Amino acid sequence: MLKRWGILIIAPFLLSSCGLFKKDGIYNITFDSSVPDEQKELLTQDLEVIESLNFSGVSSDDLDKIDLPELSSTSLGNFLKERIRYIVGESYDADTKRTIVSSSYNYNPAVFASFSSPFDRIVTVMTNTGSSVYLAGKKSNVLYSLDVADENILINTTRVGIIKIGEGLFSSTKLKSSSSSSLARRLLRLSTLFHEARHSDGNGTNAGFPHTKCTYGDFAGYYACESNTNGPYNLEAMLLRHFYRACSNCNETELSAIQLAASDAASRLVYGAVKRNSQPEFVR
Amino acid sequence: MKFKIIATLAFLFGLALWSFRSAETKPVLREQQKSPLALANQLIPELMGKKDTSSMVGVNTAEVLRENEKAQFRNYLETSYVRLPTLQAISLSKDGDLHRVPPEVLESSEVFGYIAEKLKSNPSLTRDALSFYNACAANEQLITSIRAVCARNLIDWAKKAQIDISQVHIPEKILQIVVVLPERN
Repeated sequence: MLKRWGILIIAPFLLSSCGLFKKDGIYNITFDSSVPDEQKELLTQDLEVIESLNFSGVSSDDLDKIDLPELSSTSLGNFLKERIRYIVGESYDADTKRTIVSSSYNYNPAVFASFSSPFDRIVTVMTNTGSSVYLAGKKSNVLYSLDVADENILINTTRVGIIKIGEGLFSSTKLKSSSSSSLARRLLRLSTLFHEARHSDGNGTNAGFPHTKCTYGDFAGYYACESNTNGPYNLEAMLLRHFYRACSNCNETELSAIQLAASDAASRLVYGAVKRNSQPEFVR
Repeated sequence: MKFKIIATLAFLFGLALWSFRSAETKPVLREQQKSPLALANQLIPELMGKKDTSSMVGVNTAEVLRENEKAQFRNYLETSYVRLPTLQAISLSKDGDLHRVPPEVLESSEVFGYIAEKLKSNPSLTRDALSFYNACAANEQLITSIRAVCARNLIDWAKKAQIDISQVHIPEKILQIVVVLPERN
């Protein structure tokens, strides 16, 4: 009898260590072992900040660019939840984690009718790495899968939800008078995360909302511009505009940093930019 | 008499030579390096001909301190202006990742932050700050995102101080960004 009780008590711990009772993080985002603990901790706390944000004075034009029905902590949380499923570290090498599922796959993508995934198998969020592998596969008619966080994920949509983060995410937002755990720096990192999340949207020639080549201006000649009013840069600019207002107790330098980041993102929009369908595409 | 003339000529020659040499050793200022306060502010009537000429004689300690603060602030604006990131700085950026906001742009938040703190504590500094923002917004050698933030600050601080800047021309490409940027409360 005691033996049975013992097994019942120990079993959950064993299963948990095998990953069968794997506990997902906030917004069900799973961190791959390639993410350093320090980065994982900071990013988890960044995501928790979203729940405490309050927004006001959001215009219909802002919402049009953000491409959301409303701007709230809930809608932003859902936005990420649908687009980011895994976060991998800088050392994660997609080339070595990639497996060919079909080497002559006929890509005939369909577009999600709604923002929710129609299949259980499809991970409902995506990131740069996932999007890049999907687009690379689409270009060469190869269907791939990726090993991420002890799982094998079929890369059959731009929404697969694998985002790669690196030290740059934390070092590029350095402010002398502000610690990495300050609200301002968290908001700057989150804006980058939302930018990357937008790369999981779009279909056809606009699948992944790719950046366009700047034909004039500060970044002429580089693929660092935006031709979509609802693309990653403009989404980032709009969010930073509202993050600025939500940055309570932030000092003037921190507020200026948010303003500068918003300005940089907004400066990437090219003349004649239009709003495009953001529904993601998938293959069966 | 002859000696006096020779001595005077020698003195004048020496003076001319000295002034020529000192002018030669002065650094040649690029357009961007010129003092933002030295630029004509003919488009902001409130900034025209309003040089503070109050005598230091008979002023109290508080006024002297204010004058010192103003002088220090002007000095800060002049030195900070030449540190604002230029287009050339971006192209020489070491990491070369132009997909993200250049680090030089975020670093200048210290300048904007410092100016804002000073203006909040001493609104009499606003005019000098407006000259700085006006020069920065118009400077084509600076990064566009920096110019837009300068223009945003120019508009917001002028509004707060009720200074008319309606005659200031802000380029259309800068204005398109300005409207996206959050306004100062």
